[in-house]
Formats: sequence, C-alpha cells, structure tokens
Amino acid sequence: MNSRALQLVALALCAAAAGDARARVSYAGPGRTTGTAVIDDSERGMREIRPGDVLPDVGELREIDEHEIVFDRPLSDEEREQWRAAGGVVPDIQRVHLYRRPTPEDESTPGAGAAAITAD
Amino acid sequence: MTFRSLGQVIHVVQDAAQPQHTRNDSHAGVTCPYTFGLLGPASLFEEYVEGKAISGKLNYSGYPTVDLPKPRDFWDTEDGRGVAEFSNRSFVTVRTNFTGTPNDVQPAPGFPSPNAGGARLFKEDVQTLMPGTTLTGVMTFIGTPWSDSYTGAGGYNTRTSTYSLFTSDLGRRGSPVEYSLNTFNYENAQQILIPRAVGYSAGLLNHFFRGTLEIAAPDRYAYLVSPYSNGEGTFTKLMLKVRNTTSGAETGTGTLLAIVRYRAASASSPLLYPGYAILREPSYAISAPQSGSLTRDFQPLTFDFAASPIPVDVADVSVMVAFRGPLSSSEYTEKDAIVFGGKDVYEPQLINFGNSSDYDCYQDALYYVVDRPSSQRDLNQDGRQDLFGPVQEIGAYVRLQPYGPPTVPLGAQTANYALPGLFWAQYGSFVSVQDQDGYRFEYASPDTVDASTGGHRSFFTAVNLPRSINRIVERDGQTVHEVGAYSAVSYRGSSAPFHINMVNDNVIRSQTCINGLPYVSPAFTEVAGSVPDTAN
Repeated sequence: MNSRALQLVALALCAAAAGDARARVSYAGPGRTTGTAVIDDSERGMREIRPGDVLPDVGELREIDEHEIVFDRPLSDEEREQWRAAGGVVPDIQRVHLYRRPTPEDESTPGAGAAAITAD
Repeated sequence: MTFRSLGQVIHVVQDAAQPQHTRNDSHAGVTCPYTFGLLGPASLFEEYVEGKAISGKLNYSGYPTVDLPKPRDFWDTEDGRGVAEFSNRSFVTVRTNFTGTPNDVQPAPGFPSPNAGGARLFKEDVQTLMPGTTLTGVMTFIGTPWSDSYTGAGGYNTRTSTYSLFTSDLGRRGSPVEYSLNTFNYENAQQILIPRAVGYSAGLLNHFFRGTLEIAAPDRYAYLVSPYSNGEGTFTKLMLKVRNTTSGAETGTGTLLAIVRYRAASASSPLLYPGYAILREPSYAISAPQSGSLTRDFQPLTFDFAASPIPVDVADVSVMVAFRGPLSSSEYTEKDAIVFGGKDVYEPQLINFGNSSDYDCYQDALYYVVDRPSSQRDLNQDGRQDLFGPVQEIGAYVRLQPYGPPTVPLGAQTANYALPGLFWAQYGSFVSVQDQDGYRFEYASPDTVDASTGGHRSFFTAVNLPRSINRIVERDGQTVHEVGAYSAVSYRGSSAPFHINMVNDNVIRSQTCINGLPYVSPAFTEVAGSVPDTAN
C-alpha cells in the first residue's frame, strides 16, 4: 500500500477569554478603525469596541495594543468581602489583561506543518 | 534596627540644615534651673518651620539629590559641600547674630560668615510685609549673599537679619547694638534650607543603598521551572544572571543569597483560574547562601531553595539577590557592605504538552489508530494509506525562548524540562516563571517512530504564548488586582491553560477533528519529567 509522508504538527489549545460562563469574550486583534479592538463575544459574535466601552462582567476597556486589551472593573462589595474573609489584601479594582489568541511559529521540522491554534 | 538607625542618622543630617545646630546655638527649650540656661530657649525657627509643616505650606522640592562618596561628606567635606558647612556659613542665629554698628556690621565672634561682604540694607514697609495690619513703620533687613559649594549655585538672602527697635538709636550713639530675627528672616531661611535638608537626606539614603545589582533572565530563559504532578509542584532552584551596577565600586568575595517574594492564594488556583484567586499577603523564600563575588558583566548563578521551596501555585512573584561582603571604590572600602537588586517577574505558568497521535482525521472524522490493521487504514480503498500513527516520541523536550528563531538546538542539554519519551495518550506537565510579555514555547523530539509505518523522523514545533500576570499593585491611590484573563481547559482529562500536542497533520486540517480531539478516549496519562541539572 502506498502512503503519503506522515506529518506531525502541534495542536495548541488555549483559553484566553474573559467574562463568566454565560458570556465569554476573546480578543481577535486591533480593529480596522484606529484605536479599536475586535472581540469575539460568545453572545454577540465578532464586533469592534473602543476605549470607554463597558462589557458586562469584564469591565471598561482602557487600553488596546497588538497583543492584548485591558479592562478595569471595580470589585463589588460582595467580592471585596470575599477577599477580606479569605485574608487577602482587598483590591478596589480588578484590571483584566485579555491576551490575543496565541499564534503559531512558522518553522518546524521538514515535513511537519505549522502548529494550529484553537481557543476554548 | 538597621532602618531605625538609618532614620536617626538622616535626622542628624536634617538637623545640620538648621543653623542653630551648626553654629553652637543651644535651643533645647529646657527650663530646668539646674541647667543654668546652658541648654538654651526653644528655637523660634523650629517652631516656625513646624507650623508651616503642619499646615502643609512647606516646599520640600527644588534641590537635587546629593551624591557624595562618604557618609560624613553629607555633613562636612572641608571644602563647603556639606550641608552643615552651608547652614553654618550662610545664616545667623539668635545668639550668633551680627555684631557691630549699623555702619560697621561684623560677623558673630567665632563665625566669620556671613559677614559684611556683599551685605546690604533693605527697608520694607510693615504694611507691605503684613497686609492688613494696623501697624505702621519700616523694618530694616540686612541681606547677605550665599554660595552653595555643592551645586555651584549662588543667591542673595535679602532678610538674613533684622535691625531691632533700638539698633538705629544705639548705633547713632556708637553703643553696642543688637540685631534680631523674626518670622520674615525665618521664612527666607527655610525656603533655602528645607529643600537642602531633603536633598541631603535623600542622598544619604541613596548612599546607604548604593550597592546595586541588576538581574536578568538566564540563558535558559526561565527563572524557575518545576514538574507539575497531581496538582502539585515546588520550585527548588532559581536560575538567573546578575551583574554589579554599583557606581564606582567593586565587590570582593562575600555571601550571595536570593529571595523570592510571592503571594499564596485561596478560593482558586492561580495556575488554573487566576482571575478567581484571592491573593494573600506576601510570603518570602530565602535560598541557601553561597560564596561569590559580583562582576561588571552578567554572570549566571543558580540558587538552591531545597530547604525553602516555593510552591508553584502562587502569584505576584518577584526575585531579589543580595550580596554581603567587601565593597571598595577609590574613595572608600567597606568590609561588610550590602549590594542588592530585584526584578518583578511574571507569574508561574502551567503548560501541558502531549502526544495525541493515537488519532488521525479523515473527512472530518476522528479515527483511533492504535492497533489498527493496515487493511483498515486505506479508507477510500485507493491503495494509499489514509490513517497514520500512533507515534512514539523517544525523548521529549520543551524550552522557553524569546520570540524569534531558535537560539540553540533543543535537546536534553538545552531543555527547560525533559521527558524520557512519550507514547501516545501520554503527556508531560511543568510550571515555569519568565519575565517577558510574551515568549516562544518550543517542543521537540529528536526521534519519533510511527507504529504504522516504522518510519523515523524528528519533531519540532513552536508556539508563541502570552505571559501570566497576577499581582497586586498600587495605582493612583487604589489597590489594583491585575490579572491575565485565561483559565484552565480540559484536554483528554488533563487540565491546564495551555495544551500543546503533537498530532497527525490531518487533524489540524479539520476544525471538526480539532474540536473533537479534547474529548476523545483514552484519557491522557502523565509521564514524570525532570528539570535538567545543567548550567543555566
């Protein structure tokens, strides 16, 4: 039986997403309009957002760059009490860095293709 | 005790910016008769300055942080650059005020400066000095120049001293006169002296901490690496590079040790669900001491934390290195100096890597290929094999690198973490700490064997990954929990934020197969690995 050459590649599975179980948000990259970011929102699909936009359970978009977008969200009284009860230092704000999905490198051994990336 | 002593010494530097301390003008304010007044009345200058400090009206800035080679230089360099020399030569005090007549102002006995050189009289109307007052009249100030030998700057104090009520009359009669000091003199003096008190204090503080070193990542990129097994792991070895950055001074042989600061967490694992982890107050792990010296070029060092292991499931990590031993420059030699430096690195990050070659994909369907006879591998009956694998890896190595092409071939001697090999449905798991915003994860096996063909080939791949960030910072008066938004996902029964797997390439050509692979049986089993014990 003839056979094609076997190729081995990497499958990278990562979970870079923010939000709760109902609405997960991931960062797809900078938007076409300067100063915007494209997010993949599990409830509303792909869309552009800009600094000042507020996503429920994630926070207010504060910064955008090539690799990540950053949200600020004040902790609720309930969350602050959880931190206090657990003996932790109690933050006023949670600053969330939402990374852009990891990217594969091009090079690999001869006969092997590039890695594929999939996000949860 | 060290820092209390440092504070007390700085207090003395600040005292030296008060002219009564540097012109032997006692001002203790103790009224006990047994002191015969030798301790002097309370200082009106200090009361005036304290009142301004309490009401927030003092200006502390405007003078550079002083840099002098020896501690005593901050008081006295013998050439005028010490703060005691400046306050002594530029101001008068209540009991070391000018003498002589108005036409022949003389310096106080024993204090040649300030003096009549460059002195001028300034007459100012009381109504101007004190807006709204009912008083009338003119005040006469004696102004003198000042010169700052440290900065080389000079200026003119228009209110160094003041004529008293009787100065003019007594002066006309040729009688000895007295000059006085008041809040107008004190105001001018404090404007000149307080910024210097701050600049000299900051300088002495810097001098105390002048021994500095810089930390950089090791050639092997990861500062800390640990196997991760059954949800547990500890870092027992810290690798980094260090160089001496102390200005003008070199170390001899002394003692080096490293400190790792971190925050343990509750409620959730920082490795798996960092956004839900509640971070505690910092904890510290201290390495075993080792003998050594610091060089101007980066040198690799490895610190042993076996006696004080660092849990992998922590956040807000920073590393510090301290040297204690001789420190010498052309101007001083200290036998027991401290040289210190630190670096805020990113948080421990869990990566699973494994072998999923027990499945291949054909027309969007996954096929289990273990023990699959060759007759069942040509699915379309065209005489060509359609399904491959499983594949055994003989040696499996992973390594962290900067973005870009490989810096060295990945093998047993250059890996951050190594496994003897991986069969299909097996994986390795490790935790590492690095310091860059993003990095390249490399995974290689020098020899793989396809059970279906017997063919050998090497395997190498690389993936760019983001850092793990999970720390408490203070920003604009607020406490901020800064955290990366990722969480663990399950892949064939193993849980981690990142799973890098070797698969047959047909799998990644089909999104259906990709989506199905994390849920196939059998579940992965873990293979124990090791952190190669070679130089960093």
